[in-house]
Amino acid sequence: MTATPETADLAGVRATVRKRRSRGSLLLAFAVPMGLLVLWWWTSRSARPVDLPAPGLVLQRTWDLLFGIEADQSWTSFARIIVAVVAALLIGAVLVALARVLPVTESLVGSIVLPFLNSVPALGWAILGVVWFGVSNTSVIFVLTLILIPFCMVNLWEGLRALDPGLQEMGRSFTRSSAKLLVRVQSPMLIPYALAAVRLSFSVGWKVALIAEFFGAEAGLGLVMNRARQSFDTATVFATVIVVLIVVTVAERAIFDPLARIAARRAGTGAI
Amino acid sequence: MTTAVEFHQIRVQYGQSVILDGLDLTIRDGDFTCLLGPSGCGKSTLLRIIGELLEPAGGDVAVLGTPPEQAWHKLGYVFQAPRLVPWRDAIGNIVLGLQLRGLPGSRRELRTRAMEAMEAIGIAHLADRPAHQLSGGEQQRVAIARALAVRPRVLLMDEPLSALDVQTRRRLREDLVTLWRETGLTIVFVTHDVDEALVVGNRVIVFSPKPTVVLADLDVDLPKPVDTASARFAELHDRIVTLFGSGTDAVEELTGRAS
Repeated sequence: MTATPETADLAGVRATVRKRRSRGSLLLAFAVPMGLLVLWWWTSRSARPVDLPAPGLVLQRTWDLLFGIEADQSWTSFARIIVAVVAALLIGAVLVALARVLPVTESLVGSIVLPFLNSVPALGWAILGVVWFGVSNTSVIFVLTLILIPFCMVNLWEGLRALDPGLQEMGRSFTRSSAKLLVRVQSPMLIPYALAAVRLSFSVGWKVALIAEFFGAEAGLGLVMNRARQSFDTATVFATVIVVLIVVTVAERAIFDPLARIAARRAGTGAI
Repeated sequence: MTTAVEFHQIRVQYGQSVILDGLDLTIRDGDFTCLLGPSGCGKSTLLRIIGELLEPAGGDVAVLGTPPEQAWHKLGYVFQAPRLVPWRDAIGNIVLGLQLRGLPGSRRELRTRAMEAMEAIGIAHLADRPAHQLSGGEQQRVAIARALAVRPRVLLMDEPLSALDVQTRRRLREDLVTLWRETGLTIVFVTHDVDEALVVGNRVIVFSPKPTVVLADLDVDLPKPVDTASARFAELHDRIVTLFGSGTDAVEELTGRAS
């Protein structure tokens, strides 16, 4: 279709409307949080600190927990979550591989182990962790790992189901070695799913870590929150939540988003 | 001439549907054999049986004098889709084939060998191109180079040109014939295009629609490159088309035009 003055005008109007909408959306995304912040500040002036601490105080405690005198509490939680995510991914991968390689185990893994791990609440594991391992790193990592295993299993299972049969047949035309097929063809196809599992586990891990540390740890953000609860230090409770928000957001934007883009580019949309 | 593949009383069935029943067929060593027939007649199935990607319900198969499970490492396979892995570049895909086949050598040696295969197909300049940036024809050439790089005794090709445009298809047909004449490789080529079978093959085995039987086994005595305007070409073409009767769906599929 050739552009007439009328159609060109229409396109121009649409572009302007799109630009305005985009500006409006940005403004809203900035203005609403800023408005809430102002409202928070305004309300906190007349409220007791135990009910609603001032934003400045929360910011100070957030800084303390991230980079200041109590930063080791945040990084202790971070380290535990990383260890648990890796452990959950490995255990989940072994269980899924077992179900795949030995079909006789598929019902056990898929119908018993997975629903069992999926349904036991974090609080239950947290109490059992303290009973079995005492107040320790092991207790927290144990709870985290058991909660995260199902997330890893479900993602890897989906990945295995979605393996490109064409590529697998291509692989089989070159080799009869299951190990070579696994390493050279299947594993690279599973990377996006493993990445999704890690991403999900990392964010869920923070929620679970705080519960586990609340009950059974000598350090960590959960312990910080427990102490803050006991001393009615609401600012620290707020700050703990904000620290988790910041760490998860930074990890998402700086690590997982770029990795997901690389994985998507490498994996394409399956076989070419 | 020795035998590359021998089928004896082959039976294949999917559920209740019998595709092949009691098929006997011999493929000679060094031939460019085309398996020609309409969709669903079992020609790709035969290729899968040779490559041990499918086990027949009955009958015996010998590939290079041995059962298929002992001959898979002497075969190269090119599929209808190129089936390149998207996380490697063109040469990386060929190296992947060599790695899967378990050929010895450092990564550099494997790359050298892969490059030789790419040069043989005339695509050395595409070596570092990501797989998804290649055109359909280029991708299929990489797939052919990947199969050739393992230096197979028999090259199995399952409608490798059917998804390509007319120009690319024509060029690749010529290249395949040149490759066959230069290497003396045994090629088993599945197609549902009569013209294609006559242009590339020196033997054409024609299959009927289901229930499948061999309708004809023709030695193509046309000089290569084949002149498709020649009287002999037209004679062979008509001879094959006549086997399917007039006005059938099979004729439309095999000739690419409504009858």
